[in-house]
Amino acid sequence: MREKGPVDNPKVSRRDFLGWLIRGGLFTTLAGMAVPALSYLWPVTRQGPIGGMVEVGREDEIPVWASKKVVLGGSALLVVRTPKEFKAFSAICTHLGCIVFWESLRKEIACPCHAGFFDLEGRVSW
Amino acid sequence: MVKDTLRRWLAERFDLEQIKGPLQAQIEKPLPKNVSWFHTFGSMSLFLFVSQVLTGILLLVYYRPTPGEAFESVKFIMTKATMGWLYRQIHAWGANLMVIIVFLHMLRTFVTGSYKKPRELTWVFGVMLFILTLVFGFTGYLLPWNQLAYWATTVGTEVAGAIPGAGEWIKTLLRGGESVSGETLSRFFVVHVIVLPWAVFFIVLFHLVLVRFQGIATLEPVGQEKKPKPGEGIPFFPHHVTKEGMVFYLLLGLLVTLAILAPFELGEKADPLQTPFAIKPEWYFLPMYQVIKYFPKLVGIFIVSLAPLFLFIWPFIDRSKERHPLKRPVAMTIGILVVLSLLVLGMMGYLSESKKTCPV
Amino acid sequence: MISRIFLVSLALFSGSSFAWAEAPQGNSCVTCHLDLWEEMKTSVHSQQGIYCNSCHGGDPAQTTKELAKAPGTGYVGIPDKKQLVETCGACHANVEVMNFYGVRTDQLARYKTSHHGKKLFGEGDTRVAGCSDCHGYHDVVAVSDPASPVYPLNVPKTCDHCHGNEKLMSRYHLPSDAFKLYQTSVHGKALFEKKDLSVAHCASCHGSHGAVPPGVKEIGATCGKCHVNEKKYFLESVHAQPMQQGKFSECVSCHGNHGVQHADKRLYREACVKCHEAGSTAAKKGGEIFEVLKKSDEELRSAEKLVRRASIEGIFVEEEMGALEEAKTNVISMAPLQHSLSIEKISELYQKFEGVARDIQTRVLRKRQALRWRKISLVPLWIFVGIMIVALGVQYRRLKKDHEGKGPRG
Repeated sequence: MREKGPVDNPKVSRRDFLGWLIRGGLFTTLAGMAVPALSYLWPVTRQGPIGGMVEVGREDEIPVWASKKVVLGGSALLVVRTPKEFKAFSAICTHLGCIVFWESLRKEIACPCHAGFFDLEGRVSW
Repeated sequence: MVKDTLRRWLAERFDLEQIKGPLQAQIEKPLPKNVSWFHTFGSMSLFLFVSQVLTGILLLVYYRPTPGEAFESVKFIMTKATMGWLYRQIHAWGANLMVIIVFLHMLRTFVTGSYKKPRELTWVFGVMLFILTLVFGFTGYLLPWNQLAYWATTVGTEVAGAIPGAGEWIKTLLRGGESVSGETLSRFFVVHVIVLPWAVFFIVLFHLVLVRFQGIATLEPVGQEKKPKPGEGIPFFPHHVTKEGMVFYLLLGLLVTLAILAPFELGEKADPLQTPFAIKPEWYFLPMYQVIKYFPKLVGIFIVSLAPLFLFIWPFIDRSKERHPLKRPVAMTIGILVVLSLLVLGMMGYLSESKKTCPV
Repeated sequence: MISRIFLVSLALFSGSSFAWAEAPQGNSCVTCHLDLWEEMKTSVHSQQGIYCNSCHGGDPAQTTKELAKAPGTGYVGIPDKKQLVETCGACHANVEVMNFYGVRTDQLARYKTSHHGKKLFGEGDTRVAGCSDCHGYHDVVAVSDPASPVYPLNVPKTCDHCHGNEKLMSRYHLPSDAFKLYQTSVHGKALFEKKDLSVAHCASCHGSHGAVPPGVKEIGATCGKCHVNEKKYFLESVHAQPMQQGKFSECVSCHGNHGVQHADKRLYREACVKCHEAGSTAAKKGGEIFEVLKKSDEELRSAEKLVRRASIEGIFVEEEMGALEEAKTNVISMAPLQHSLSIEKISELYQKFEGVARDIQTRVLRKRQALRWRKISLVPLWIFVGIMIVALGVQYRRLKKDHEGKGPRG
């Protein structure tokens, strides 16, 4: 009768357990490095990391002589559509910093705080 | 199962025995008994290099090397990219740790006298690697294009410009112009991302080949090294590797902990028209920065360039045959003095031009 | 030809006082009254070749005093107030004369409607202001010239010459402290300290040539010239009707006139009770509005503080700062809107503001939470690292034991 060795023992020996633990740990480490790396590589936005171009809306979203407010780079912008083109302005009023809006009746940019008006060149108009 | 199929496939095409023999020898090669925990610094340096390469590659996916976009792209990585903050912080901390670990590895080699004959060349390559690590740090530091980076680079290249004779030429070459600009960023980027990685890769390769070929040094005097017999000593694999695995995990944990608890700030975007108060180079250049203050410009440059020179030729200066640290009082004294002076000068450099006082 | 005139006019009307007129040759007035010429030479009149005789009469071609001031020459000497006004008006109200200069000609007509004019022409009261009291006489320069007494910065002081004279004003039962009050007011500070030329001064509200103090009904029109939205909303409020009936002095009742200060929500506590009894429905309504305004101010401040703290903690808050701008706009818009005294409208705006403020708060807290999660994740990480180190350590020890156990056998 020979001694029972670790191979015969049906229970997993401590030695094997350690081996499995270490192997599992190494696999976990590798997976733990690979998975975040893959999620990092998956694109966050439709475009790359910075301006150059950022999509702020679609053409059919803004009718002619209408506007859309956009927040970009930590500041508010106003996009106005004229029959010819799209124009973008900083939406910060030059008086006290309120956010302006597009007054479609007068076809001017208006500030709600003290009734300041700006024309389509961004100049103060009375 | 898969392993056997693979082996059979390869065996039908290559003379595996020819490879297996030396490979086995390398794996089972016994290391001398004096190999200790301090002998893990080398592989930790390698691990950090690999980590920098991998995180560097990931960062490269989103980084843009132009003045108009560099800062914003790093901000993107830190705020928008999934886990981007982690990779940026690991890369930044990894760089700092690599300087420390490489230095400690060098220190260990010095203390154990491993640089002596027949391993002088290994040491020379090692010093090259240390210097290249510092250059890695210098070039990489500029890439985020923030105020710290811009002005530290200005100061650093200014120092280079003070070298007599070729100084101006070197400064212009480094900067790609009169002042630090987009040209500087491009050049540093090229060096940091292509030139240095390959240079370091090949020198590390030579370094490792030499180490493996000549074996780890014992503490016996030169010419009296006894090769450990099989049975004595510690096999490289899996024994020493297991030890290295433990230190690896510790280092990994440390890296991630630093990334989360002590993240590097991005700061403000570089403004060539406004110098921040008391701009200093990164900490590993502080001793040099401090020393230069004590001497007139040319003397300072001379003294500071003596240091790397000294490192390179040290194995050829130190002719004593002893390796054991306790049997080399002169060398040990010099070593201790150098380390102390680095610490003191570094601390002085850190505290200078600020209202901080010594915490001691 | 026209472009030449245009260029010449441009040069002449540049409004700068450095262009001194040359002393006219052969003009006996100037020859004798050289000191008066010194006053005149900077004026816009002498630059146009209009000299002494245009206003005083006389014949400058004559060389002796007697002949120059002879009866037939139309010599007037120093005109009295009524003469003076009519003399100025002889040119300045004449369209054909002023056409060349492109200057308006309604000053005299307006003047005649003003209290000054009515007193002068109606009652012959010469103590009132006439053209020269405000514009000067010998050294008249354009209104746009900073040296002019009616340059915006100088208007209050010019009016104060008479309207600050207590003895003079008491005759007409008028207060004499307007200038002092104005100096302390928000308009006065803007004018004198910030040199803001567009701000309201005496002439802005009272008119210049047609100076009539705004009656109760017209105050809104006066203030409303600049404060457009406030007026618009006021006309929607419950106070509009009493104002029509003359019972409520539109803006002045709450804000004052000459000494108007920066409007503060405290007015709801102080001004309402001037007419409404404390505890009445009206006063309570005012209190409600006060509460909403107070709440929005506080919430805005705390949102700003939160964003500032977050940025110090190292969180990137650019988007939140952009949203703060929007929130601030909503709060600032409450200022004109509240004149409608409609708690519904104000609450609506408040809801909008609160939405943004709450959104900012959520976002910042979420970012803070994300940072916290990162730190928490260190725990499982170190447990894992600890397990691996221990496992490897046990393995290492076992390997060493085996290796040493194998002994010299190899």
